[in-house]
Amino acid sequence: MTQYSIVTDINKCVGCLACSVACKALNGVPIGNFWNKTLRIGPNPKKEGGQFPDVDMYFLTVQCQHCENPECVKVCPTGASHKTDDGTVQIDKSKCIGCQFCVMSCPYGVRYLNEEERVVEKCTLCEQRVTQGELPACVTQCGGFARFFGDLDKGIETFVGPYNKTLGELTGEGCDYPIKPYTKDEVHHLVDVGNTPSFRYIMRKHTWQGEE
Amino acid sequence: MSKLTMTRRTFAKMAAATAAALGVGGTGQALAETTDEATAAAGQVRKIRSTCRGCGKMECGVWVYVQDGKVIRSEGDEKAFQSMGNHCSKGQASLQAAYHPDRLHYPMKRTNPKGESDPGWVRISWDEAMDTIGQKYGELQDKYGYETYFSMAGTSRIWSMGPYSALKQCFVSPNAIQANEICKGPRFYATKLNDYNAFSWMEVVGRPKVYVQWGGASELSNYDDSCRTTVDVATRAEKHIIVDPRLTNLGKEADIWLPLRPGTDAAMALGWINIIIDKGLIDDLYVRKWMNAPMLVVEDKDWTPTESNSTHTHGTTKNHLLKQSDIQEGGSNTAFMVVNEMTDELTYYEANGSTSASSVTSATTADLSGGSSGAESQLPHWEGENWTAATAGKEANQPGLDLTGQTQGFVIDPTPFIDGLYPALFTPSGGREVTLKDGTTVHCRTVWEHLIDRVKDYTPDKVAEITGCNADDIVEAAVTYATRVDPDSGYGNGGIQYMLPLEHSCNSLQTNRCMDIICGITGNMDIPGGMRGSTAGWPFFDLAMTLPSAKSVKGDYDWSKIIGGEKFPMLADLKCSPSWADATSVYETIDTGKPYKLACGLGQSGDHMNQSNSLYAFEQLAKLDFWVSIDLWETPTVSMADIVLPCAHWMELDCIRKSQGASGSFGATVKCIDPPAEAEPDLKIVMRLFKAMGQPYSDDPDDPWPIDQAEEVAGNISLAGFRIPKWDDFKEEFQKNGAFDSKVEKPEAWGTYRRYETGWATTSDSPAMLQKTMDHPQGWDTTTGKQEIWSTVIDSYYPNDDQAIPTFREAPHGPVADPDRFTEDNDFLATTGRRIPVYFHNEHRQLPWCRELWPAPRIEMNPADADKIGVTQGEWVWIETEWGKIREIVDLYYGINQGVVNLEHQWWFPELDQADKGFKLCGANCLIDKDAQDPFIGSSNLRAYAVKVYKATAENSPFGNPCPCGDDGTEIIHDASDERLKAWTPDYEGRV
Repeated sequence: MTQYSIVTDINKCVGCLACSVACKALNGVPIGNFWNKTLRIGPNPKKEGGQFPDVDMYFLTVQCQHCENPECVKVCPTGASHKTDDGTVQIDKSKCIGCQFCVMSCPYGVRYLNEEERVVEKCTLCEQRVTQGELPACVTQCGGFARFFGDLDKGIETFVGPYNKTLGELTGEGCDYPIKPYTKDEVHHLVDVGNTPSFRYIMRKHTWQGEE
Repeated sequence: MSKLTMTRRTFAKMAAATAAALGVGGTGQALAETTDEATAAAGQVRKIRSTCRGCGKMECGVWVYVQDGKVIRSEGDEKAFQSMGNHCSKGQASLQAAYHPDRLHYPMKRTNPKGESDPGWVRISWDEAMDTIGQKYGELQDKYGYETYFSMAGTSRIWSMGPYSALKQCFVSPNAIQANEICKGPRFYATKLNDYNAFSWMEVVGRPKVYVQWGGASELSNYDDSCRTTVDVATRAEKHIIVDPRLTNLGKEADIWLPLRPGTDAAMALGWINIIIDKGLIDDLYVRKWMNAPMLVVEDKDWTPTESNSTHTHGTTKNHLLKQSDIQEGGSNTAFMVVNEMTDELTYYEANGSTSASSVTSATTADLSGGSSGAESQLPHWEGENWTAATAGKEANQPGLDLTGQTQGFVIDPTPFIDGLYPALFTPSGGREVTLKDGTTVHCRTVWEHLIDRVKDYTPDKVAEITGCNADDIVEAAVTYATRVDPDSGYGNGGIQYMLPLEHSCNSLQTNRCMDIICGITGNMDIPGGMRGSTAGWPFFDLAMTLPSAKSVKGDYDWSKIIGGEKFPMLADLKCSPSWADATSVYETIDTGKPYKLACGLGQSGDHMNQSNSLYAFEQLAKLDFWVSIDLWETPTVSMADIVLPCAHWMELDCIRKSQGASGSFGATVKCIDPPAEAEPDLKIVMRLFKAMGQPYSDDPDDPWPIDQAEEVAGNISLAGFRIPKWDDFKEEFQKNGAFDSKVEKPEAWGTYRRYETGWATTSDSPAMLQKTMDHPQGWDTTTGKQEIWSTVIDSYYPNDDQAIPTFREAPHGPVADPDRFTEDNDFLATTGRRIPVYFHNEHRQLPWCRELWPAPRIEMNPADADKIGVTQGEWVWIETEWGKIREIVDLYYGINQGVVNLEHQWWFPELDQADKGFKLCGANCLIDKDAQDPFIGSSNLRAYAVKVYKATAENSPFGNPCPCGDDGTEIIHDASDERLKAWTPDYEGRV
């Protein structure tokens, strides 16, 4: 089995928005629509009633999570939305009738109707690149060097980012390593309502907001 | 000893001559025309290596993808060690600027009076434009004198830096409003006074072990350093410290955050100095040997400061330091007296003996001949020292350089004093009586003692009270910075990346001098990851890109007439000028005609919104008899032009690019596509201006205006002395292997650390061909030859003001200096200027990929404050001062303190069909007091001032609409779904 995915080191994401424009540049996403977004989470007081400067903030990159058990595929009446062998969720535009059931069913709100083509679109995980052995644009262009792409079934430490380095190679204590060690508890995913999202988020020291 | 008296002009001429010998003037073609375009099959994608200019400065290495003659995408180049493959949102969106339907395509002239909503632009030919320009400026200058002309400069697009250099010569006028008056100039100037121009640049790419960001967020601006580098450095560092009033995007990860009140940076810095001295964390040898700390200050009030005829850049100063000439007939007035701790005898450091290289900011006609002291038979030296350049040392050992392919560089070991000498930092029992040559006695104490006098009041508790930070955090931050993580390395933790806000609260010069002193006393000058100055490479001086090789045929401009010189006398002294005319003074001069009439001017990618009060500035521009703008767009400033000239985008031109900062890289911006219609690279336009004004550009008498080969000629001149001296070859090598590493290409000038030990600290950015023959004196380029805690220049200009050692001054309209403005619940202290990831100052509002991500200006406000004044997330509010009012949208942000708001700056609205493009609606600088300025160099009060904030309602807003609207009631774009954004997608037609 293969389950392509992206892991983001949240501590290195600074909300620079380079991933959003990279996606636009490569994928021709219509103006006003987005395949990926970066959400500012907070700043919030670290504890109830807390005050500046005791606040917590992080940025969360959100796009299609290429779920293991995707709701969008279940509700699609034509089979346009489907899981592929590499684990990604893709839309066959020739089969899409623009009914938008999938838009409504997606727990993350990452699908939209292309008004011109009258079909639904979303992140393809840069299918056109990945099939040629390249990395998705939001990974290669990530300003923070925070994103890595790979097969979740092989473990996130095998994921690859810029300089063709794996997350595992780059992780360690001290100045020689640009990724700091993390524990299992520090690897998060977006809320799972039975769809089993495949993307992972490494986040140390901040408080993950919302459910998982 | 030969005396170097080369002027900037002499260099340009010499470089041109050398370049000519190497074959300048060939018919080389742009790369895009010479490589595989002819053979490229339809649909094939070509990949061109280039250097981005999506922001104002950072030289990120990029790949530009061209298909069927069109740029389809650009991506980061991982081979570019200075930027690690970074390519920010602005840079990636840049192709939307190149192909934007609103680009200026032709020269145009206005047909309607200024101030009307429609300038009535009419297309004209380049010939007509340049004929009119020559005639109009000529008439006005004949009538009012050369100085009636002024330029206006933007920022760091090195091919458009004419106003900083070439245009002063072209128009024989020193007058230029320069963006560097409020951006980087004060930092450069502070270090120019303290040690050497631009040593405010920190070698962030050197991976400091403690990373201090002070008032900056290069992770968003990508300015000075790329996002990827910044995040990498912060992550690797043992400790990351941030000094900033608000929670920043990277600051969320900092180990220590000092959230200071806006405008109190100098108090914080003086506090750090106090703590560092108190805890014994100074680099004792550096302080005694390379700073003027041990030099004696004459304290007697009735003593008249005496002259030092320095051969260094600043020339003659009158200062309170005790000199050999004060105590001994025939003594040197540049031999500065110190007490030898080992003997208790007086001894000296002779600072003269060789002329240092020019400090480059005012280098256009800098005469380096300096004064003379009769002590030039020897290089600068301590009494009894026969100085030679240090050579012993070892390779640096910085982490993380392998990944980016950087070299380490060689760190010179600190050299001890000569036997028997150890200058004292303290005089015994609070002073030393010294008998002068006339028999009188004066009381002296060291500079170091004066520094301690200054900082001792800035105790952690006092600084906490001023800044609003926690005293323990302040101590922890200063101690963490100054305590060496790795003492075995033999050098400090690294520099401090001090940035823009320090220049904006009317204490710009002194605040930045404080920062320089912190880096000095901790031994972090010119060490790996430390303060290193501008990269030594090619070109030797980036602002030189537009400089001519020919001499003015109309004589030299008169620097003493520079506007603002009356109010800020240091501006009018060429030797120690920061190089700008004061912006507010220029606007006032237009207004009043005093001291003389300013009738005309020209802006090259400059704008009136970046400093002084924008409303006042705009009114004055309307009064000019003649204004010309060179730009990509119809900006608000362009709307005041009589003639507008269309310039080229970075994807449409060739230009050498060197890191202006300390990354140590140089490479090229490479032409990928032709400019649209009749747009032209700035360099060509500058040459056309020289022609129009009857000034030769090239010193080749047969071809004084090589307009058609402008980029190649400039490239060849820039490469003089490099192992690859021809522009075409240089580009080819760059295509193959990427950016050049100055540590490798210039081992003495850049590959070596602690260059004050080798004589290269102040000479490394001199023309390469001169470096072999010129003197390389030890130390720094100041009157005392040392890093000046005591500024001899400021002492000279302000002898009675106690300013030679830097001070803290409250912002004039802040809560302490101007409490009457802080009496109501809706009075706030405003800061501004934080970076929006998709914009560079006023740029990119018309790029769909940028604007859809950040449609409208926001004001950050603590939710408790918002509650108090009855506003909430997403609502428009009025922000008002005595001088103006604007609207922005509330963004509830717990990351900013109560009582403080953060405004976005430089907004204008390209979507509005009116000449001023709505800059008055939301531009933060409409709010400021034009007369609130730095007392020495004029920098505007862009942050730390009082504002009133209240809800915008139908009742209190024009057109009954809280949302800002154009003159006809059209709303600005404030939503990503706005259809107008789609009209801004690329237009591939109209390109010749």
